[in-house]
Amino acid sequence: MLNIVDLHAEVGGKPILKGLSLSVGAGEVHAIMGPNGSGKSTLANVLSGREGYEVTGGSIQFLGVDMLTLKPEERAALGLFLAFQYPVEIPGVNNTYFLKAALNAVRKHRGEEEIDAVDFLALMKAKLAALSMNELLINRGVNEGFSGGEKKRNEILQMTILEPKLCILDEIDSGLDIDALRYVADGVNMQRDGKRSMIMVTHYQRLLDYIVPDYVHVLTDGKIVHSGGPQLAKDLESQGYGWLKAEEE
Amino acid sequence: MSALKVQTEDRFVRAFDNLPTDSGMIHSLRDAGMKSFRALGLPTPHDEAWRYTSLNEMTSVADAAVIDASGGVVALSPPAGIRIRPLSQVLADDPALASLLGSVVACDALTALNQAFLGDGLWIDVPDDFSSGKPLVLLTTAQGNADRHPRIMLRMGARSFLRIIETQSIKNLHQGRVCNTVFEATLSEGAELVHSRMQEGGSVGSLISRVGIRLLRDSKYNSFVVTLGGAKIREDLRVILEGKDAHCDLHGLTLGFSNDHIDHHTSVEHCVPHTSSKQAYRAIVGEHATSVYNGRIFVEHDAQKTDAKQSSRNLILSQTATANSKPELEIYADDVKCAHGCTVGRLDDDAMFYLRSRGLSSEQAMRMLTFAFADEVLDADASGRVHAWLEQRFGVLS
Repeated sequence: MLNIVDLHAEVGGKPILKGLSLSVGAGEVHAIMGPNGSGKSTLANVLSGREGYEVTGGSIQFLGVDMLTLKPEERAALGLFLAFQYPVEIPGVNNTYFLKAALNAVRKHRGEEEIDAVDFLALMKAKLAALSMNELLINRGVNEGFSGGEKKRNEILQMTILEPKLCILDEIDSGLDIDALRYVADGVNMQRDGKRSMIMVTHYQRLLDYIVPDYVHVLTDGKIVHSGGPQLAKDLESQGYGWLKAEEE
Repeated sequence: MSALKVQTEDRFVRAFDNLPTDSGMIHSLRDAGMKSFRALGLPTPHDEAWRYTSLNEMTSVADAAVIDASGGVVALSPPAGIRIRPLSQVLADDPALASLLGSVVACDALTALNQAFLGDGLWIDVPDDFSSGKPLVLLTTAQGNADRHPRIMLRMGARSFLRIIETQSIKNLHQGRVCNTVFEATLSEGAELVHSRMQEGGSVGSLISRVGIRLLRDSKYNSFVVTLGGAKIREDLRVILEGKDAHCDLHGLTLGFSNDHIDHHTSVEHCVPHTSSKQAYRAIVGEHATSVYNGRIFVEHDAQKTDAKQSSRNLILSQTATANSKPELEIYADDVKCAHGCTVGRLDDDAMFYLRSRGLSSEQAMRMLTFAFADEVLDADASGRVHAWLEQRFGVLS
């Protein structure tokens, strides 16, 4: 699905990723943990093609395609989805209209027919019900006036409608209380169908109690320094990141 | 005075001399108009009010102006009950009414020019207590190798209500030609006018629009002007609040691309206590376009308890586009509320990336965010027509 080899990236001339390698197979859920400033969010942004993140070395193959040559919208069309840490509020762009346009852009790329307004509304109603989301929210501007939890659920709603092949969840748990976290996690778990892959970037082990990963990686100073199973996250929670550095040296 | 300027004025003077002689009121009005036009001279960028907008385009032809005397404005299926007559007929029947012409708009060279070539404009009378769900549709067009000077005079009776939807299009006007319109209205006590204007220019030619509104006690004026491109478009909107509790709401939306130049000047004049006004103008400029908003608020000495608000927001889509925005506040009373704000910016990078990360092309994302910017002011369009008009030209907005 995704193959990252020796990735180097800079932000504003400052090297952040320094030789990161990661391989994600179909249907796998990977958690990437690490202290502040280790490069977790940079990785998410580089993967989604955000401007200002300059790749200076290495390669990223997604479904056999060299992803670094693709624009953000082309990556999305190919099946990549980034759930934002801080979803942007866009007043004046209606949520429903935006989602329908996005779905049709992706469908067009897949060679499928555009969905009409009636079918789209039916689809969205079904997804909203499945996520127990308030229908009224989606008639507003994109994320306009949404609470932190509502914004994150809106990300999940978009994910369930666009049906990507690989999801990157950038600190999806940040700013959520325990109930909101449960809703978001349930939404993500519904998307685990054995084929869809996920990369979860997080600070806290807490999230991994709700979305149990297949693999856990520790990112320190721009590199993955340790990989393991779900137990690794628990060890990190009790012992911190210090012992890994010691082990490395 | 530059040589070019002399030449331009000259072309109007020669055209004036070619007008068929006419006795009666129109003739003396035209004479007076030409006299003041010659005295004032066309404004140049040295005049503060024309700093950003040059009328050089009008100097690009030297031959005398051909005047289309039909007036260039028609009323389409007006609602029953209002009286619309040709201006010439009204003045012939009652020459005393001529004194009302030019009493509300600012008197400058272009108004004078309009008067010098006064053709057959429209004189509209709305009776007291009139109200109709049906709007009055006015169509102003100018095309080909001729100048036009349309003129509209509107008198609204007490407590009357009227919606006007006006389209001003000069898309096929030739180089150097001008469509120079003057619209004046007086709203009697408790009257309400909803006035939507859709302006569209071409790659050459100038559209000059003057609007003057006089508001008596408890009357309300709601203006919405959307300007969609044009080599040279200039509107001067003047509102005189003359009666207690008069109120005006002025909204503008400018969309400029290619080499468009769109200039909106407003002058809101609070003359008595307890009047209020709101102005919200938005401009979107891309490619090499230029927009201007100059918003004047004038509050007289004894116009206490005035409440005047003004906001100007500008979105620049390219490095080579320019948005000029200038508030001009002249406040001589001390117990007033006056608020004004102005922003100039680009599309938000984060929002662009968010939309693109969901599969929308950068062009689609840009369009969506651009119309989102316009949306706020489009919501204020009481006629409901502007949105549809824009959709006709740009496809579905949202």
